[in-house]
Amino acid sequence: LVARVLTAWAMVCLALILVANEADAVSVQLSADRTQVRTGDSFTVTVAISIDDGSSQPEPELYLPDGFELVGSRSSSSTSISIVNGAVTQEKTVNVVSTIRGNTEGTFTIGPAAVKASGKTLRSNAIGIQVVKGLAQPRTSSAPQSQESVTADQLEEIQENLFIATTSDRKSVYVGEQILLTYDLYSQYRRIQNPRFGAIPSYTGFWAEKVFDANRLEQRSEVVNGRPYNKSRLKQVALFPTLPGTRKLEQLEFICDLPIRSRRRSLFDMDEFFSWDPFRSHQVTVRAADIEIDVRPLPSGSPTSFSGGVGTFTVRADVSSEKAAQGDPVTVTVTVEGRGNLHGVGEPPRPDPERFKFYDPNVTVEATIQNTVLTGSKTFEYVAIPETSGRVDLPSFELTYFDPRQAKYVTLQTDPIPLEVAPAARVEEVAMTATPGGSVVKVLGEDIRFIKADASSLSDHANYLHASGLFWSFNALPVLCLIAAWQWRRRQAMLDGDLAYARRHRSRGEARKRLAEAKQLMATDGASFYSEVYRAMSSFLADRLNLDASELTTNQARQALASASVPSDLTNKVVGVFEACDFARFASGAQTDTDREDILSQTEDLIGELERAL
Amino acid sequence: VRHVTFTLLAFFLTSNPGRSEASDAASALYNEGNALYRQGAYEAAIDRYQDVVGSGIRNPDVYYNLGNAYFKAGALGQALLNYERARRLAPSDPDISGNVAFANTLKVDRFDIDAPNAVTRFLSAIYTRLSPNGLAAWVSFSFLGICFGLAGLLFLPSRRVRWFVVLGVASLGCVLSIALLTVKVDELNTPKGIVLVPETVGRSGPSSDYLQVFTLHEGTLVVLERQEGQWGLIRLPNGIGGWIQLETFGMI
Repeated sequence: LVARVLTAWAMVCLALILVANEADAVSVQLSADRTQVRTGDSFTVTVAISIDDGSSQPEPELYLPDGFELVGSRSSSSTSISIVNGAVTQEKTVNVVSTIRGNTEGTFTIGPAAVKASGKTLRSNAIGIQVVKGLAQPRTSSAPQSQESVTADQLEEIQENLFIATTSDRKSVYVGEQILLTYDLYSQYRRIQNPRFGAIPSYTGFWAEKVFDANRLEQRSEVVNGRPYNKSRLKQVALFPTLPGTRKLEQLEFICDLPIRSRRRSLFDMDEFFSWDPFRSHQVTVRAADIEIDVRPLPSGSPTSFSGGVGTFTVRADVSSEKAAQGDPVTVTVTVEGRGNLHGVGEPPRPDPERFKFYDPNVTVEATIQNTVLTGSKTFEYVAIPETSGRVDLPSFELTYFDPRQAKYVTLQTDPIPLEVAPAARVEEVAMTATPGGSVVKVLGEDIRFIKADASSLSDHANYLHASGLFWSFNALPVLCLIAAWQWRRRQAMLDGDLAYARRHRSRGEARKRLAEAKQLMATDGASFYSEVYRAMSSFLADRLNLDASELTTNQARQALASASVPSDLTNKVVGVFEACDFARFASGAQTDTDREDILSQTEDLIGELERAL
Repeated sequence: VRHVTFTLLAFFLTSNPGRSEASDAASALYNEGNALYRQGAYEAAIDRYQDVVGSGIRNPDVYYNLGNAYFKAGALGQALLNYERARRLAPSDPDISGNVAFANTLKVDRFDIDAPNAVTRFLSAIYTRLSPNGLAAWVSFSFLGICFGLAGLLFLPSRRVRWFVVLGVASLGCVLSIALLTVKVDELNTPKGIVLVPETVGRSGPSSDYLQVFTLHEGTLVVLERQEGQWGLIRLPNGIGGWIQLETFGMI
């Protein structure tokens, strides 16, 4: 969108220009205010274009040969009405006045001026201009305040009465050596109006330090070549060449307005008479004289410690504190003081950093002009870290500069600074307080700790529990205990709550108890023995089958066992035991000890078998 | 007390007949070594201590004194090797840690590893002081606590909350100690070595034809990752790996 707007705007502008150029020009005339000028002087060339009124402003193109430069141009227009034989003609005259400066000697042709009108190009006449050699330096030129410009004669007059003298305190210097450049304005005019600086030289190839800049013109009388002048100091600058060779300085320009007495040409020249003004003001530009400085290179064979200083200097080193701790930074300040190119003084070579670690310095320059000489100090502030403890000398810094007066290199050294460096804080941590208020026990040296004491026996320590299966098996113990306790508790709960379970659970034990009693009765009381065996058997069955033991008859036992799906041979054996016991109880004495032992073992086996079956 | 109990337990679990006579002979050699050390006969003391080590007894005091004797005899690599062996058996011994730290200040190789912060230092100090046996004891103890808590829940269910707390704490302890034990055992089983020669060159492959990667000096701790012929791939604390000859370092 922006591009489209710009395009549209450009087209509108183009259209306007085309319309403007379509002015209907009647005639184009070229004239100059003079035909002979001096180099560097400006003159005016006027293009007068007569066009029909109502047309827009024409823009003439003026051909300028090489060696001429267009300083500026302005245009004015006037309209005239003429009545010839009753016909009214309205004509507009446009004057384009260009200020042109001729820079090269010779004869040149300026023009023609071309004006585009109604699609065709109208050309004016051409004029010849002779450019002659201008005035010698210093040059003076004037820019017209009005349309009238200063003539060459007037300029020559101005030049004699107003000039800038440039002086340097020396013409030939070493690289880095100070030159003091002074610009003085000499004037015979009482009134210098509106004084100001024009172009200020950039002093290429020099380091410039301002010494003096005039804010107002302070005039003192001085006689030059037998003529009294008012001398005003304009500017003073200290220059430090950075490169060898012959250097031509750029000119300083001073601009002021001068009252110039206009010559009255003739009393009868009405125009002149009416515009008579004895003190017409003209803007005059005064340029300082050219000056060349021969800059010599510094002599070869400079010491390695030379850091660029030219002048006279002293150097000293200071330290922030003469007591420091190992590894803690101290500030080391190296100050170079003196007269010369302080900005050009480089960092003095750092001493061999065997016991100190130096970081890059912080550089500050404090310089002022004292008696037109740059004087001051340059400070290099280092952060240094002591790397060893004890009494350490901060090594000396070496400064080498070039003394242009003696034309030789001078080397200075700072005094070494003794430093008391405490051991590092890391070591201090080991120190311990012996007594309150007493001195801290200092660690004098470090060694390994002493050996372990004698031993009556040595145990093997490489027995790792995690590698031992037995260790891990021991961990099963609490689990087993827990399981056992839980089982016991569950059984206890069942015994408390379930009578049948309780009877069943106790059956074997009861039967065994009865059989044991029977065994004791076996030899002494036969009848009791059999009745005990019978009760053991019957109560075991009753407990197992959850029946009433007193009601258990042989037949009931047979039925119950059958319903519990006990094999019939086992049932028969049980019934056999019952029958044998019944028989023996009522026919005691018929049985031998062998029979009793048989029935006992038979019953024991049977109980075992029944426990599995039921 | 518990530690002692478990050490004793461990002793009984792995003890075998005939150990006590060997131990007596070993302690006699050890004491002889100590006497020689006190006289300044470090080389002779080294021989005695080495005899104790040769008898199969792995005791931190023996390794420690052997390390001291090597240190005094000027063998920094051997000293550090034996200190590390001692430390493996007695990780919380301050003498061992102190001498390891001191000997390490004398070795050449340094590694630019960021200093750990306070929390990391605190945790690693605790971890270093934990012995594998102590951790195993903790595992057992916390496991017992779990069983205790379960038993309480089963038999005294009226105090449920209390038993759940016991159970929770014990379970946490159990998990933590098992994790730490696993790491510890893993570290224990990591093959580490100490450079014993004044200088050795690490190469990009298991032969002297390969490019030099780094230079190591006596006393530097390396982790052995692989072995190929007479060369071992080792890893340095800063993560750089390279092959050095097996004879240039001793395994802890």
